[in-house]
Amino acid sequence: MSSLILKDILLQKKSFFFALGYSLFVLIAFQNQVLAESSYIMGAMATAYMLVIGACAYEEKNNSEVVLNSLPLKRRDIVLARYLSSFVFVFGAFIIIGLMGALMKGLGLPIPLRYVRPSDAVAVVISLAILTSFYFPVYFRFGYIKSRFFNLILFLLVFFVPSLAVSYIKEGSSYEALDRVMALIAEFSAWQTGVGAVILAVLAMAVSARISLSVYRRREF
Amino acid sequence: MGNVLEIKDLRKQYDGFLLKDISFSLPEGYVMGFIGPNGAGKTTTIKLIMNLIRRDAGEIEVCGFDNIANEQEMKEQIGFVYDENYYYEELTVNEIKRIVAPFYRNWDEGVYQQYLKLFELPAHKKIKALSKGMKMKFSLALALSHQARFLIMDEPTSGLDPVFRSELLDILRGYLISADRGVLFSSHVTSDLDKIADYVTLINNGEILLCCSKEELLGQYGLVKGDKRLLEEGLRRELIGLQENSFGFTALTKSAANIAARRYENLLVERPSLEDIMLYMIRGEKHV
Repeated sequence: MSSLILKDILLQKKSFFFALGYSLFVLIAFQNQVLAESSYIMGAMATAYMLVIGACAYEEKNNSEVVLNSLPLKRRDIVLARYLSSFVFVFGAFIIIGLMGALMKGLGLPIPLRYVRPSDAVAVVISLAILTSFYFPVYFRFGYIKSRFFNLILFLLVFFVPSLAVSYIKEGSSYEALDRVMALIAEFSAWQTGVGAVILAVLAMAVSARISLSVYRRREF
Repeated sequence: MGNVLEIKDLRKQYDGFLLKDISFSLPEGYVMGFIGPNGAGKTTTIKLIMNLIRRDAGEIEVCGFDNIANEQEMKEQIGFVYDENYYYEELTVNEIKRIVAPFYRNWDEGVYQQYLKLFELPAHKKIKALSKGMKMKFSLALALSHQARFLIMDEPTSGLDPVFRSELLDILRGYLISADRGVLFSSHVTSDLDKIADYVTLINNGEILLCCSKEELLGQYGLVKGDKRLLEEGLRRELIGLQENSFGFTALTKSAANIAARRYENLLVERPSLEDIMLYMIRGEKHV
């Protein structure tokens, strides 16, 4: 399985410069009061997600699943390697944006406002896990090209809904139900919320991997 | 002597195509030419062997391994060369090898390096920078470097120059020095198979039209050319894919020796090529 992960890394090696550029862009662009706090999370997640999608696109472009499925390996390994390589990408993206932020601060620039924190890493991993949990079953069922529309909607939802929600919360909401949910979440400590989110992400990935495996076993090439 | 490939009653249905319960086998030590026109079912059969598509019915065994129950063990035994490049165009020859080699327990780096040298493959060049012939050579180098006992080649020579096609046949002869190996060579370029195939399986419209040794095939079948008047002497029913023109007729026959022995006047019985056999048999099918 490590060969499959190596393959995804080799295919994306040129994207290192993209990750650098995009991280810089996010750190500069996400500096308003609403988004600054989440700039490391959003930057790393968007970079990692684009790397995940890019790896899927290379697979389809080269029609290489014909070769992968002709090698002596199980379809299960192909599916699980795809999930694991998404963690490799998120790790890489987080390191890059973290170092970029540290370098900017070290140089005495006014942005970003703070160094990266361990809680950012947890939030990025959880976010990407949930995002890919939705994307991969659709990708494994329909392939990259046919799942593009779904991917676009998912991407817009993930990157616009949270910022809208943050501004909505900060400006004070008038929706009772949402206020009650927010109040309920506020009753938990940060670590309790974190543990809850980790459990949710693990469950989402487990269910997602099972669905992906089931649909991929039936795929024909 | 066992079989490297055994297919029994294999069936696969698509919209507008049916692979009709085909059966054939390939003994160890031989090359089987798998011939037929485009869309006949050659690639479908190969994809079914490789478990790239799911069969509706039937059984496939490679070197004694069921292709579904023992898929990994089976694929360890197979070297594959497909009709086009499916390796990542963005990666180099060396990078692809790094990815592929660990999947094979019997990967032989020495053999791979020998083929790399023989084929003059540049290890650090990207796949997209290689010519079609070089891409094919690379696929072949990977296929031959893990002690595979069964080599599957799907239209490997289409679009390649005669020099490389001739080299490929020499390589296959070398590969078959180990008697426990076999090659399934799918092609519609039958001139290559004339030179190397020991067995021939002809498929058309998802049906096997013939499957036997090339020796037997060329011994039985003949290309008959003669005067049209001979057709009235009961010859017509022995002919396959009859083609008439103002000068006479041409057809294939399964009773070449028999017809030749009758010593008709103005009749020639020639040794057919595989292409003749394929063309006349398919024409005969159309007129049934």
